Amino acid sequence: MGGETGAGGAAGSPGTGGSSGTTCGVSPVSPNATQQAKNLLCYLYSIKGNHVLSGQQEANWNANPTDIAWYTNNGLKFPGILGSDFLYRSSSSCTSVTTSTTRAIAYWNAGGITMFRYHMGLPGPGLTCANDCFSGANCAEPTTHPSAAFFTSVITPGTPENTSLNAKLDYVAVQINAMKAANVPVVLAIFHETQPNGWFWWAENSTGPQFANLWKYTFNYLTNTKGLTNIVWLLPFSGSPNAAYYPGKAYVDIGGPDEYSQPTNLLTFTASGNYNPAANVFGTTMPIALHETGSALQPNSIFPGAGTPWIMWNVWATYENTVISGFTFNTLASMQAAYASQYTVTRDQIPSLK
Amino acid sequence: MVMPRPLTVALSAACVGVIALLIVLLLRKDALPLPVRPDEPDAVPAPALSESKPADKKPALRPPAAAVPPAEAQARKEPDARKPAEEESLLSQLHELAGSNPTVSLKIAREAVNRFPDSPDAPEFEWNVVKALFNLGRLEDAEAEARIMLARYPGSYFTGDVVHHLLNHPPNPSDVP
Repeated sequence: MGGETGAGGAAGSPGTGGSSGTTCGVSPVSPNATQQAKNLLCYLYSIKGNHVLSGQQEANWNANPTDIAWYTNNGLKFPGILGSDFLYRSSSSCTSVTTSTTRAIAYWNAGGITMFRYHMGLPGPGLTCANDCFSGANCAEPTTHPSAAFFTSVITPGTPENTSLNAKLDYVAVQINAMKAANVPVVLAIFHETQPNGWFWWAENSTGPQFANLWKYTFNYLTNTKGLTNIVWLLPFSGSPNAAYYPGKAYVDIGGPDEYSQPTNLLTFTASGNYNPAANVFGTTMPIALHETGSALQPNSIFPGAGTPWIMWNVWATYENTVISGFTFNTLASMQAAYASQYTVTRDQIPSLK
Repeated sequence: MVMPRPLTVALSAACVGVIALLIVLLLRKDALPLPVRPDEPDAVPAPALSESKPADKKPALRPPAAAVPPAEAQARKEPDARKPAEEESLLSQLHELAGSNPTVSLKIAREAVNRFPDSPDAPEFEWNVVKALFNLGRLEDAEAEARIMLARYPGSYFTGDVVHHLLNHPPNPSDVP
């Protein structure tokens, strides 16, 4: 298991920062999970309290995202996690494997971990993945707001809303199945930034039980109907995890919040205020992930001691090097400090999970 | 001059009574509702709520105060236990409403922003103005309000949230070359 030696130390020291073994006593919630999914989950458990995975969301709305290259261009190692988004397709088809999926597979093959979210458009009559969008009518952030009855119809077989949801999940299944065929596990952070009065349709005016039912439906559809066994399920709350929206540990492997405040000191940022509210929902055993963040964590301010033992951070796309509306989320110096920490796990330091 | 004994006793008793009354009033000061200034807008009536409040309609954006370490609590400007009861009430109403009635939420949030612009909760009130406008489909107004929020409360988690979702969100696929 992990320990303080090596995990963020010299390059080329794979096998540190945790264990890839399958005897950790924890199995993915997906029935008949693949060996790689088991290895991945065990690894995430093994680093809890001693190391934290670095991560970077890529701007995959660009044909050639430059987020990961920014690190290597600045003399930093590859982030441990490549974050991506199913919203952006490389063809008009919902049955084609996207270049984002292809890049995710390549990242795994290079030793990294893949994580996807999905700005799924609002399901509605006749709508498929081809209609997905971020903001506007029937988008993830919809200008057409779902009614309370919607949350029943969308999970009721045979309704137009349910047919639409299934079509979008079928598209997701194409992508995850491609990863499964390549023996790649994926951390799936679907229905992200959930909170009461949330920005996205799945949490905008749903109740906790309605959201939990949507999550359970999606879980059953992807695992049982589509036969996907390579998923590590991450329940991605916003900054204030809410227990009423938690579907239960039978449906969730790991969980966590996001964070978009501007730290008062980038060199000591720990997002400490976000950890305990998440642990209050998920418990103290389950790994807690900062699944989206403006700023990189500073592991030297977390470990040893690990009062807030995050297991990952994932800097949002372009936020690694861009001032966003006056928010300086990161500087080269703060990134260098984060990546220089002995407690940070970069891609080259992840043990073989294959 | 020596006062008659009955008068001395009466005066002493009166003094003790006045002091006791002052002590009681001082002790109760924080518990008394603050008066509403005549020039302030009328308080927004609380929306009708069912007897059994669903757990999922609890506060949307605030972690439990007890679970937050002190440093972060300060950074997030956790509520002052001595803040005006009306301010706390407005916040509670917004939490209870969540996204259910943006018209009422907008009215409450606007009142709160106007009355308590320097409160630690002001960024959250402002967030509710932006979100209610968004929920009402008034996207341009929401974005304009988000820019006002950015100028008033830079650095806040709530400001970062609206920047992330309204002012710097990813493009629609149809807008990608």
